[in-house]
Amino acid sequence: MNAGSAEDNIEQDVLDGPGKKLKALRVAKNLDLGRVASLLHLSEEKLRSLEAEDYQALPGPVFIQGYIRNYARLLGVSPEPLLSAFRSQNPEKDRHPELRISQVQHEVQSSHLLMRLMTWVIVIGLVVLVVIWWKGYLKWPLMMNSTPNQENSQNISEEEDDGGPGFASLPSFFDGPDDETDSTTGGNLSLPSLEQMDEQETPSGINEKEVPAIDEAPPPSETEVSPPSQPVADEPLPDTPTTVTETPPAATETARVVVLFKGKSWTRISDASGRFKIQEEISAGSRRALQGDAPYELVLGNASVVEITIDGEVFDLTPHIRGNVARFTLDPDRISR
Amino acid sequence: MLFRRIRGIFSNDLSIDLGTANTLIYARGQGVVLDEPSVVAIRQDRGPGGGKSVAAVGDEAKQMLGRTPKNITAIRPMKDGVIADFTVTEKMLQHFIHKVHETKLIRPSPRVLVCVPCGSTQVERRAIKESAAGAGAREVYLIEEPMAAAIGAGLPVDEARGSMVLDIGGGTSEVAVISLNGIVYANSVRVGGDRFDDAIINYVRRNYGTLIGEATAEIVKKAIGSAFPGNEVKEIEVKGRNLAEGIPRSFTLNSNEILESLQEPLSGIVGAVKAALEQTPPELGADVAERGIVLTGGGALLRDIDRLLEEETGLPVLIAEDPLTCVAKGGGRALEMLDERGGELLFAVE
Repeated sequence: MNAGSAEDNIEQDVLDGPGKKLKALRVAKNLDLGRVASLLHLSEEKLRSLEAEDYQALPGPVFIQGYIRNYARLLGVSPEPLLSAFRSQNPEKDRHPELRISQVQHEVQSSHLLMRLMTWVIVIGLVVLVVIWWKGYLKWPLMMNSTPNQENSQNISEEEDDGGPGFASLPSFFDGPDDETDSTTGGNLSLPSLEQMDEQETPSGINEKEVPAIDEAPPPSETEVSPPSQPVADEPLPDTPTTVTETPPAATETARVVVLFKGKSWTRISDASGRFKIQEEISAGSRRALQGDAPYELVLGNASVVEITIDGEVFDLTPHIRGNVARFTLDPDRISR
Repeated sequence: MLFRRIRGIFSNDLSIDLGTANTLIYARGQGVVLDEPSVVAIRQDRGPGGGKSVAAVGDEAKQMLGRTPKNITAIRPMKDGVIADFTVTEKMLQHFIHKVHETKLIRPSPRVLVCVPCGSTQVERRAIKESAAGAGAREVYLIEEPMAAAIGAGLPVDEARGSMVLDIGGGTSEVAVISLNGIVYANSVRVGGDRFDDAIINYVRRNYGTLIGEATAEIVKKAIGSAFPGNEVKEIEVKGRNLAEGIPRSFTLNSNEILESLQEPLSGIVGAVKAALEQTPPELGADVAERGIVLTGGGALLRDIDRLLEEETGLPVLIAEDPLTCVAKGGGRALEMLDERGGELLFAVE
């Protein structure tokens, strides 16, 4: 039987499966199964399954088609009719392999959800910042002027000796009864308080002029600050706490303890309530009036240059100094008694 | 997001098999839409300081190979599976992407998956990525060629069984053992169709004292090339320039001569397969021995290459259906998976 007639045979019995046709061709060529298996490098078992069209025992359609092609070529017939017969018998199920991650090397693109979220957060943040800046635009220069006091007003009142008494002592004297923003509370500074500060603070030049003239005439700034019931400032100072803001002696009125630094000193002072606290290096010539509740815990570095006055009287530090550092608890009431 | 979707409507997602010899493009839902040689003809404009422009790309440019006047150079921008000329590759990709979108008025901006040889370096991969991005792709994914070839051939890559695939391309041959969606072993040798052509050119020069061109060598290879001695001897008449006389001469080559000339590159491929079998873990090796090695790529069309490998390895060797397009098809299927799984789940894709 030559190849041509074999092909004719194949075409004749289209209904037969490719395995049966291959087997018939093999038998016609008088080839033994074992020999064909060795020529195709396949096991006899596999070849038997192929001839019996038992495709479950064979790997996948790719492999089966390959085996049919090789087998047909070995027998010297065209593989195409056999392959098409196989395909018609086994319509290829659109088998997609279950692809799963084995290694994901996914670059984060700009379209990534996280990137987009972050971009929006940044944009919104910027917009909010711009709005805040715009709202506070006019206030900022004023706040900048008052920043030293503002910082200190959270904890302390600072008096710069060279800055003029009226200027530097401002925040500590906001404790007046009609002053809603208690500077010692350390709370948020609301805008009105800033404005008030500003009203009192900006005319520091005027204050300098007016301090000596305090007995002669009521300065205009005082009338603004003080309640209408007290238009004149030449009454005794203790009675009018708000007018006290203008004069250094009043410092000793509200703050009984005043610490004077003649040289640079690292200082930590805290009061009993914990609301008032100083923890910083204080430059030479500064003065701190202690607020809050007694007793105070003090740690004074370079204690020899520090002088403490209680109700105007000098307090002797020397018993507390160890190696030029003074650590002690100060209760003005107990000492004055 | 919305904008990208709008642009996505106007462009097809593409899987590109950017090969040394041929570039194939598989468009999602359409199959292989482009199969052209990776050749670009560049024209140097006249006059001093004249710029360069693309004269032809693909089939048209391939016909110009070795037949160009002074102001035109026909070049193959890919070499050994990787980019040899960055800008020309970009131009070529741009041309091909436009070609498959030629009915569209809007400039296409497809998502593109490009197949890269497994032996390519990070630099080479980056070059391919940038080149595709420069050609207008809005997103570029890379997949290793053997993986794409295996998917395209229909191998059950997800099973816990070893499948060996040998992809013989124009510039490189890749052999890989795949199991559970991952590459267990992969090796790439820089032997492919181009080396076959070179081998034929060298053989003819040595034995006939005649110089033939690359295009002629390729024709000879396709017509009478074989990898294993067969029963019938085929002949072809070729023309080349006789080196001694300097005159074009016609002569006849037969398939046995070509077989002889191809021995050296073929042994390179056989060596790579043997090395892969040696390096494969025994369990997977047993799976491969039981089921066989699958051949893909243009090199699989070389007559009797499967028989050569069968004889050399003693394992069944099967040629995949439509071996030329396996890689592109596999890439296309990977791209479809990329969408089905929400763009996150994909194996071995960069």
